Amino acid sequence: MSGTTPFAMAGLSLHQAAGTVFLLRQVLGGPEVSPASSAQDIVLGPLLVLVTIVGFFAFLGFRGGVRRQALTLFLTALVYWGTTTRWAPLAAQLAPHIPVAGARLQGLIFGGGVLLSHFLGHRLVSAPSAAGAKMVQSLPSLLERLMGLTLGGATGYLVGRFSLLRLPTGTITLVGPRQDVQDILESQAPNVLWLVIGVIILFGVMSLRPKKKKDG
Amino acid sequence: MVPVEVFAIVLWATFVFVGLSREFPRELGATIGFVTMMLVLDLGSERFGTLAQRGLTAAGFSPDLSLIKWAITTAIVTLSIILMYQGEGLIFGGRSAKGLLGSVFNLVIGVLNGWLVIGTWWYYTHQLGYPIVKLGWFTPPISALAQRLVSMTPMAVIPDEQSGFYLTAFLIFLIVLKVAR
Repeated sequence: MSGTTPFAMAGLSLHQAAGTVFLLRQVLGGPEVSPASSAQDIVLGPLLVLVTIVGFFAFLGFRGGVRRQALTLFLTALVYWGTTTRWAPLAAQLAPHIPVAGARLQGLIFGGGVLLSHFLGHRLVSAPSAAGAKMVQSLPSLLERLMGLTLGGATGYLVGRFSLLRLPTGTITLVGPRQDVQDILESQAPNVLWLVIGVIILFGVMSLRPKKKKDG
Repeated sequence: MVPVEVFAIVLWATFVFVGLSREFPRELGATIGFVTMMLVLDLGSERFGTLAQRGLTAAGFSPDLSLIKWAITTAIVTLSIILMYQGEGLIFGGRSAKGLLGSVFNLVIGVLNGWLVIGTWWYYTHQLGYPIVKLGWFTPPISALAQRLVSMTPMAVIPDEQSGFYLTAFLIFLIVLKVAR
């Protein structure tokens, strides 16, 4: 097997393989290393980072089920709204009382808020205390888990959107230029929206019960 | 005079109530018709308007093109609502889920249909520069909230050059679901 590349094993020529790698890099955005960059530079494509964050939260949503994740998403959305759209008046009120720089405070409040949302989502909507069959029945069904996965993904999107625009760019570059991040988030928004609509409809159809049989 | 955003929100709320009462299987069938309506408007609203203007000009009238386009758009939207809610219509097989889950899906499909129908009508009215001003039904300017809400309507969310693709893909998805069900 020595000397056989994975591309050759997959039946791809060198030209096709190069094209595939280029396409993947265009879609995922990285990782890539610029020839001019130093050894410490790690440039990750913003979309790859976003997909990772969304995937992580989607996994949490899948584990917790839709009921828990719905509360978590609602609270996270509130925190997101408070720390972005409503941030200016809120920061003005907090500034005299807390000696922390604005952007750092914003990040701390958002991070704390997301953690609290998850804590509340998993505490307030908890499984019943009785053990045994009742507990097994209360476990989320596959449909509830899949819906939790979707809502978890939406939570991850909010977290990713907030974080990606605020990650530091320095010696170790975690994401590309901010404008690129903004452009990617903007350009992907319609796709994400229609995807979520499609998934909700799919779950709605999956949740339908069979029609009652007519007598006679 | 009632602000345009209040008018649109009231109409949207009507769809939500309709969704809750008619339930998910019926409302999802109506969604197929509404997406078709959007596709028709996307592909043909410009041509319909121009054709109607030529016809009216030939008949000796001097019509306002934007007002004609708005009237045709409104007629297509109204016709699609009548067709989808009158008689048997398209209905997905099955009954809504029991309890909260079923109610949530009924609510969501009502919100979606309202967004598709009212959002589309409002988008085209906005694009045409609110020709209803000429009829005295509306007085500009529109508020910042209205501007923001218009930018969140379905046709505004879809990228212009890809609207045909998005709507066709969504329509095919719904038809596949209907057939599979």
